[in-house]
Amino acid sequence: MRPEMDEFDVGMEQRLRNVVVDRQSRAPGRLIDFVCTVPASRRRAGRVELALERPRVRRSLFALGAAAAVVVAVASSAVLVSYRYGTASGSPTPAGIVSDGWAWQATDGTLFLAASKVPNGFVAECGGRSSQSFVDETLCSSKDGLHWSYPPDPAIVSVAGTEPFLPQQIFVRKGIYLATSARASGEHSGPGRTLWRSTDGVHWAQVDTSASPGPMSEVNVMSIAPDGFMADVMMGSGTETGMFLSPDGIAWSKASDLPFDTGGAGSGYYIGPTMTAGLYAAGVGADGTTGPTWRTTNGRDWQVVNMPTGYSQLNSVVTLPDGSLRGVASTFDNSAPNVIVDSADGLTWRIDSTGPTGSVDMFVVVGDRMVAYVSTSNTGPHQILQSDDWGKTWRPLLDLSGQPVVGSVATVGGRLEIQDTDLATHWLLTPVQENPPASPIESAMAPVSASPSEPKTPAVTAAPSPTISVNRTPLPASLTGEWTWRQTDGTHFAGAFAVPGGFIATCGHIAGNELADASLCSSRDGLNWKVPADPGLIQVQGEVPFWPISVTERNGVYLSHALSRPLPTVVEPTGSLWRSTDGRHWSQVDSPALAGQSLVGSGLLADRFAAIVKSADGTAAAVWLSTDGSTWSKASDLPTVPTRSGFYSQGLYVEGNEATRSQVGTWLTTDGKQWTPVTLPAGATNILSSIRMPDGGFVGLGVDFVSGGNGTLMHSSDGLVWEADHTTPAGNLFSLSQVGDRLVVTISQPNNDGPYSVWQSSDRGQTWQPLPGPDGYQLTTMTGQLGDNLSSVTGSDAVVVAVGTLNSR
Amino acid sequence: MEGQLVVKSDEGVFDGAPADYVRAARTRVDGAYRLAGYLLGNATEAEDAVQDALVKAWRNWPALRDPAAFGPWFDRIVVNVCRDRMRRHRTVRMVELDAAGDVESSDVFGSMVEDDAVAAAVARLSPDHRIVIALRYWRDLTLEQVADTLGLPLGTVKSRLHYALRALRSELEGNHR
Repeated sequence: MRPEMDEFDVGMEQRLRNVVVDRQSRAPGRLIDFVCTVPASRRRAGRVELALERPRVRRSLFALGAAAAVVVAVASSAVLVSYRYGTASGSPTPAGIVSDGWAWQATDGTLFLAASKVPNGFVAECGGRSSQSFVDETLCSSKDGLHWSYPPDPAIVSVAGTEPFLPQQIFVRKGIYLATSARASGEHSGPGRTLWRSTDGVHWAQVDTSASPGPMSEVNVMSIAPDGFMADVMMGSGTETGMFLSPDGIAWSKASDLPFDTGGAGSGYYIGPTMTAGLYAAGVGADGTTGPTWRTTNGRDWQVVNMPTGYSQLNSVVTLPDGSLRGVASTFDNSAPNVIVDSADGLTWRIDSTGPTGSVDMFVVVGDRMVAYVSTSNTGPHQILQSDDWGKTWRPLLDLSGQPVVGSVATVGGRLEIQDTDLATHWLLTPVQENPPASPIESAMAPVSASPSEPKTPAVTAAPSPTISVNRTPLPASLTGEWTWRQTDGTHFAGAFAVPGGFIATCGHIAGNELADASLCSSRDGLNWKVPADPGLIQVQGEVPFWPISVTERNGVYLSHALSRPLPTVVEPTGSLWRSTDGRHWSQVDSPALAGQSLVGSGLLADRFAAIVKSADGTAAAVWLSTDGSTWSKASDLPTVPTRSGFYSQGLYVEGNEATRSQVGTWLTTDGKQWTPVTLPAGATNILSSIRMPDGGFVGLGVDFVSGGNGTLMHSSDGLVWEADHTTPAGNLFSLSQVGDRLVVTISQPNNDGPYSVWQSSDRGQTWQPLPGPDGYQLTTMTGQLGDNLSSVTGSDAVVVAVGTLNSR
Repeated sequence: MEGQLVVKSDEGVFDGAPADYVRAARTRVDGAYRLAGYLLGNATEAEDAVQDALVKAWRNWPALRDPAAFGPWFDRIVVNVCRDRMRRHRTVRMVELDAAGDVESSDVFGSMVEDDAVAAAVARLSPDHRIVIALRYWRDLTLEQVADTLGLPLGTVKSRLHYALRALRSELEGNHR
């Protein structure tokens, strides 16, 4: 029906025209200047002009990606310094005030943007405020994310380069840190950035991008590819763009053209900031409309992305613990509200029907909470909404006085950052369990020293579970049948080993198949972890990172096989050998006998230290023995170049398969000199676990990594001939552990598809019962052992959430 | 550096944008700034929005086949940027900076919203309604020019304007109750 104008409309037209509008108002001079300098602005000395600042929210969007790449749970000990609503009274607690599942901590009032976690703290851009804009940005650092200093603390970040270092994205891969940095005049000159590299996350140098394959003038956006770093790069004067790959951040080669016509220099396209699901890009037409969206996960191949009808742009993308993806989609002209979309494969997206009402302008995941920055009306303030059931229901995030929080959101260091509208007030919120156990748990969790008589089986690191387990119920120490469960602080740790006074492990977070932002960490109780490690428990002297995957002790001497690249995998890793005479002070073993060879395993064999090494060319392998961990002698050549090996109480198993083009089979040695073929049941080529039973004989877990298939529970009287037991519940036997008189297994569906379940047996595996978890929590995976009597349990996000003690032991 | 404009300042020399882009953009900056000011009701926001629009326009400049069409094309970009900002920032500005009082004295657009009930009511409309009103009555564009700027059919513009006026009526009547 054609609308008709009535008297009111006519009158209103006149009233509108009479509105006092300054029709002669001129644009500020600096805006005129900006017209001329927009493509290639350079840093000005001193204060940056207000008008040359890019809007802050957009920069925060890129900061999200940076934080996501290096996020690690932080056990903060910072002090709450101020409160917005005057609710503080008395001495604040070190952990901040807990409210609605969040621990609140305020910063010192420094203005900062784009904060990123680095090994020794945080880095960001700090600056001043001019009206609403952020000016005079400079690199700054913080140990805790709360208190900032500039110039930065050299123990946190040290820079060598001709241009300022203002990191926007930081990625770590194989021990190499790579960052993109904004040019100091801000983002107004476009997304182009300089490239910086570090091997320790502390000392950064600008990458010389002037050489092969040609002068790279700008790096737009970067991510991780399976075989290196990938980046969208503009070459030379901007006449060529494309995706480039580099294994080390130094040498780059072009991998592909962008899958649409960029029209040469300066034409528009955007690349979505996603870290774990690949990079998204779309061309932008002359009228500013967005073309089809494309995705690449390896920098070489591009696939068209199917967006929901009416939505053309995919903005931020996050990965949930179950591997599914959530993102924010928008129309180019914002003719419809931004919505949350979900996808299983990253290529086909649909609108999440349970998303919050309103237009979602930002969306992050922190711990087990989803947080959305939503405009729900044209006149009301943006709301910050949270969901603790993975998006099914949403409710406001309230501040300490019970009022809705205002400001923008980001993630940093595993915490939710809220920047208030005054730009100066930041809050860092850590997701916590409310009502934590009142009584100290340390006394009940006394660590057990590494036993000299029983080599410790390297902890099996759990694969991420495909199911999401959400439980906001307080989790006090709970007695569940014969088990007592205690909650950890939520730090992700892998491969925990007992040392005098506590435990050491590698902490970080799972990103793809890697443990990202890995760092040596320690715990005195197995529950609360410190990153970096407490020097009172462990001090390391060496040129490469120390991330232990085995620790053995013999006559007061400790030996560790450690990696500089921790991978949650059972594939035989290479690494270096470390030694300690007290379990606290560690140094790398400098053995001429082992020089030039690759260490692939170490343990105890025939009451001596043993090391398995491969020749430099990988065509031969041998076992070496030592009584002190320093002086080594070769015991024998291995009958195969092993793909896997395992030290157990009965000896050392090695397996060779076609992959190494060596002898196929499994062998056992009890002394390092004589090797005997091992007979395994059908479906097993390798022994993943072997447990000596009190009444003699062994129970083991057999697997076949080459052909796949389910794990096999098996038994043997001598460790040489193994027979299958078909007693475990249906599914894939995933792990086997022993706690006291109990065998504990993790079962998944075939091919390691979920859901996972944990079972126990007290009769050598003849019968199995579900292992009850802490009240209200579903056990998903046993990850290994802490000391002799403690087992760890992981949640679906591979974070160890509880530790169980068998009371009857 | 043929075809390039080099701007000198006391702080250095800048390699500049293509000269035709600079000429086209400079002639439209004042109008774009006012349009953004009408839509956003704040001088600083308007300045930032135009800056954003200039970046977008520069990126897409090579694809603009007819430089003479720069005007409505750039206005459309400004409108889209402002629509985005209205959704993202509007209330943040209103609450905090007004309280701080550090931009009021020179903000002609803020004063417009504060001093005039009709302008204040327009500020409470949806972005699309506000846009069509600003283009029609404050930018003094014809309905055809509004349609051209927004890339919408003329009938859609008429309809949208009709409902914008109805919404404005509701806003004003609500204020009087």
